[in-house]
Amino acid sequence: MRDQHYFDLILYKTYADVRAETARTYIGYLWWLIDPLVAMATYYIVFGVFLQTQTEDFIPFLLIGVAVWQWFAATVSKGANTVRAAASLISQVYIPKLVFPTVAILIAFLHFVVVLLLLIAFCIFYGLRFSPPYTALVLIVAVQFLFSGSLAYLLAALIPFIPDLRNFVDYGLRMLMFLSGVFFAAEQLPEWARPWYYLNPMANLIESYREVLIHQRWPDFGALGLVALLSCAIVVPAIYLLTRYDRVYPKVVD
Amino acid sequence: MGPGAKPVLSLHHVGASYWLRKGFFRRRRFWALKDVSFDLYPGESLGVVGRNGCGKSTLLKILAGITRPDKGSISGQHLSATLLALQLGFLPYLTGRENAMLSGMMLGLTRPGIAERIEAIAEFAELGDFFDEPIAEYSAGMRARLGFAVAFQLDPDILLIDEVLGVGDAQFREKSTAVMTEKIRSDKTVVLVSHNAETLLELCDRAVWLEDGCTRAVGPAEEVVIAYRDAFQPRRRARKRPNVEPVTAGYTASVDEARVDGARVDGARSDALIDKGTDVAHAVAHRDAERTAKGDGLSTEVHAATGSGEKCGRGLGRGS
Repeated sequence: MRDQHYFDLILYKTYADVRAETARTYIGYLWWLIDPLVAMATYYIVFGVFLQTQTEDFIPFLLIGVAVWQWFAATVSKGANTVRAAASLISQVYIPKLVFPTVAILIAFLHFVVVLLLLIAFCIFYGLRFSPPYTALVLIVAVQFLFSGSLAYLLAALIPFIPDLRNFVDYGLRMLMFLSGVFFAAEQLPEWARPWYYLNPMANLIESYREVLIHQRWPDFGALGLVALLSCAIVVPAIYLLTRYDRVYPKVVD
Repeated sequence: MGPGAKPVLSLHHVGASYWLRKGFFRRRRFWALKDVSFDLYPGESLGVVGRNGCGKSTLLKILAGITRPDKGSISGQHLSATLLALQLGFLPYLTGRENAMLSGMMLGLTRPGIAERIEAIAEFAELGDFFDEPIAEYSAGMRARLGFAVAFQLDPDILLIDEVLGVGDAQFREKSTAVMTEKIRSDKTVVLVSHNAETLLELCDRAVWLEDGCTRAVGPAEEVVIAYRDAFQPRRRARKRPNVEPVTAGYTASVDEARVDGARVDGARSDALIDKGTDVAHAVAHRDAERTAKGDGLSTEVHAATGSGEKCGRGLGRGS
C-alpha cells in the first residue's frame, strides 16, 4: 500500500519535473534535441574539422560517444545532489530519500531514449544496416542504466554528509569524459595504455554501442557483465545508506 | 475522550540532537530536545507552548516521523502523523491542478485519493479558471489559498499544526480559520503549536510547555497555557493582577531544578553524560544564583502550582 504510493509519487514527480522543465521555455521539448545536437556539432567542428581526427565513420562515431556520455553525465551530476536539494521538502514531510535520486535517474533516461531513437534513425539513414546485434542495445542500455544509477544513488547518499564531494563530482565527470573515448577509439591509444583504458566502465560501454551500431558486431558480453557486477557492488551499499539514514538526512541537509 | 483512554502516542524522555559542524572533522553535538515526556490521547487537541528555540519544531519533526529521537522512546499504535505543510513542493510552471496532485501526494494522500478530491480543492481555493493555469501567474494570495486547500484535505491519524490556522486575505483567512478550527475541535487527534495563548486556550484540551528542550509542564490547557503566559508576559500579568509578586523567578528556578534531575537520570544510562554534566553544572549555578536572589520559598510554591518538580517531563502528567 505504502510502496504503491511511493511508486506513484516517483512517477508523478518525474512527470511534473519534466513538465516544469519544458513549460519554462517556448519550444519546450525541442530543447531535448537541441541540447545534444549543439554538443555534437561543437565536438564535430573541433575534432572532425580542426583536428582532422581520422576514424572510420567519424560522424556516427562521435554522435554515439557524445549522446551516451551526456546521458551518463546527466544521471550522475543531477542525481548526486538530489537529497541535498530536497532539504526543504524532507524537513516538512517524511518521504523516503530513495525517491529523489530515482526521479533524477528516470528523467535523464527519458531524455536519452529520445536521443537514442534519433541516433538509430540517423545510423540507418547514414547507410549503416539494421542487423541482429542491434538487439544487444537493450542489454547495453540496461547495463549503463544500472551503472550510472548506482553512482547517482551512492553520491546522493553521501553528499549530504560530505558536501565537498559535490565539487569532486564535477571534476571527476570532466576528467572521465576525456578518458572514456568519446572523441577517440581504443586503437588510437598506445598498446600499453589499453588495459588501463578498459578499466573504465564508460569506455567499455561506449565501445559496446559503437560495436553494435557502427560495426554491426556483438558487444563484449564479458566486459558488460563485469560492469553490471561492479554496479551491483555500488548500488547495494548506496541503497543501504539511503534507507539506513532515511530519517537522519533531514537533520544534516539544513 | 482524552485522558483515561489509552494514549495513541507516548513519549518517554525523548531527546534529539544535531551535529554542528565546527570545522574540518570537528563537530559539536547540540541537544535541541533533552527530556520530553507526554502522552497524546485519541481525539484530543494538545497544545504545545514554549519560547523560540525551546525545541518545538524538533518535537514536531519527531512526531511526524521525519526524524527519530536520539534517546528515549516513543511508544504508540504506529499511526500516521503529518505536519500540515502549505505549498509543499509547488513547482511554479505547473498548473494549479498539477501542483495540487503533486503536493497532495507528497503530503501522503494516495493518487486516487487526491484525484477524488481535486474538484473540492478547486472549489475551496476559489481559483475558478485559474486552476488550470501555471501557478507562476498566481498572486501570492491565490497560491496561499491553493496551498491551504490542498493541505486541508489531509486526513492523517494525528494532525500536526505549526502556527498556521488561516491564510490569505481577510475573507479567506476567516473561512480557512473557521474550517481549521472545526477540524481541530472534531474527533481528530491534533497537536497544535502556537505562540498565541488565546488560540491554544480556545482550541486545546491539554497543553505541553516546553522549556529549553524539556517538558516544563503537562496538563489541562487552561493551567499550562496561563502559567506559561504569566511567566513570559509579566507586563500583561502585572496589569491584570498587580499585587502578585514576581512568580517568573520562581519558574526559572523550577526549570533548573527539573533539568538537574532529568540530567542525572539520563546521565546514568546514556552516553550523553558529558553534555548533560555541563548542563547540570550550569543549571545548578544558575538555580543557586536565582535562589539567593529570590529566596527558596517561591520555587516550592510554583512546584505545587504546576505539580511538577521531580523530573523534567513528569509534571502534571495525566492532567484533569
